Amino acid sequence: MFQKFYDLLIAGGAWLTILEGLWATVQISFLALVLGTLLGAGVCAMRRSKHKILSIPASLYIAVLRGSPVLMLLMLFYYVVFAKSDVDALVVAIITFGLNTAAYIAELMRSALDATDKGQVEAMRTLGFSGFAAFRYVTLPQAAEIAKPVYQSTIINLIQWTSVVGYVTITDLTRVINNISARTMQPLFMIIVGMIIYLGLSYLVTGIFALSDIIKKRKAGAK
Amino acid sequence: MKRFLAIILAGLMILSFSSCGGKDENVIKVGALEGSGIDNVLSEEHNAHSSKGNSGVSNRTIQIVNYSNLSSALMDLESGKIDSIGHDVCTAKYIAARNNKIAVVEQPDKIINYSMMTMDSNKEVYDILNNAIKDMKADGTLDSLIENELKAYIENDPEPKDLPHFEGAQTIKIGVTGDLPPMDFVAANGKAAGFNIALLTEIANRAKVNFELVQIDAGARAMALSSGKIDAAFWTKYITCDICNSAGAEKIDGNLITESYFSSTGSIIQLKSDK
Repeated sequence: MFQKFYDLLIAGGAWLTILEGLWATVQISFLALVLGTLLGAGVCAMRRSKHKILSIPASLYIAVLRGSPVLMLLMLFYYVVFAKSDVDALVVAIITFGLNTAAYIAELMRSALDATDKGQVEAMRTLGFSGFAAFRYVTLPQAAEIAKPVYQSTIINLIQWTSVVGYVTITDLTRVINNISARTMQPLFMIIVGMIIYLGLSYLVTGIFALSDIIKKRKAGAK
Repeated sequence: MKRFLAIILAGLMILSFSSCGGKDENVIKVGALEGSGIDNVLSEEHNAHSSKGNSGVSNRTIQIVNYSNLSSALMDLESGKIDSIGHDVCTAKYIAARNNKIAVVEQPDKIINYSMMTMDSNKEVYDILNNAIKDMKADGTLDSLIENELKAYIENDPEPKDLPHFEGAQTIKIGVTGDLPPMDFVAANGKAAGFNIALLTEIANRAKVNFELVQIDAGARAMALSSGKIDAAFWTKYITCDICNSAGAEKIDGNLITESYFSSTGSIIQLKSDK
């Protein structure tokens, strides 16, 4: 078993290619998450707007992007929309996953904001606080707390979705695992290794969220 | 602790149920790579071989299960979802040399042709590739490459070589999948390797062109070709021997297929326990 582990994952520098693949996965996931969160916040604001000219396009965006398989979207962007351009495949993947994630994040933000108590905002306004201050000090902290578990799931989903980027010439973690499987003809072993690495990434995300909770509790305790 | 045990038990139950599914003894499932055309040429010998000692041979039907890559097919073979994989004997020998569960049954009457494909609008690249292959066939270079390079890749893991680079020369983007050893795979250090790279090196030296390798999933090759993201891709086709002599340059659905640069006999890849 140890010998197999060495032959498949260490010998010849295979572990370095795994790290490179992992780096590509982390890059796409992280940058798509940043883009998706910023864009998602914008779409959420549009979706909650009283003006139909804003809310209808936002609803349409969410319906289309959430309803289409991300692999199809990725291939459409890379092979059709950016076919004639020299935009790097990694950038296309970040844009695609960012757009797709934005639709999910917009909806999770909307549901979190809707779940907060509007009476508290009204009370703040009565006390003379501005609309922004009421949002910043009352609505946002509560909505963030409500959205946190779903946001965490969205990040984990995003990491897993990126495993299809091999279709657009990117050598990510899945692609590297497949390459090693094909070369060594030990696909079962390599799939398990791949799963463990993805699981590790998911637990890292869970750990970061758990850590933020601990820090928050400690801060609250210190006060 | 109780919850943990409950989860483990539930998992075991699911596994037990999934393996209880009755296997249809009258169906032989043969894994094949998508687009290989194996379903058109599978003969009754496979039937006869796979069910050796079974008197009900003639009643058994073959069901082709398509895979986008060999690793997936191999996983299903090892888990018992399919009975065998049909592919060329070089790949089969490569697999058998690295996976001791695998047995190979040669099928000398089946031929797999290895060619390259371009869009028919990309005639310039097609001519460069096709002419080089023709010349290499004529002067015996191809035979010598097959004898030296291919055998080395089947039996060992030689260090992959870099493709030559010619300053200011035309660059042709080639799609490689990395999942069809010993023709096309990725070495441990992440470099593209295999017989196809040796072939490209020779073509580059002859035609004085540069090749840029683009690693792509096998299922996306057609899309990459038609969108212009790659200029050419490697292509395999399973054919019967009666037409193998006529199989040369051909045109399929808007694509141009070069002359085959390598023809291998077929084989059935199966588990040793099933042999």
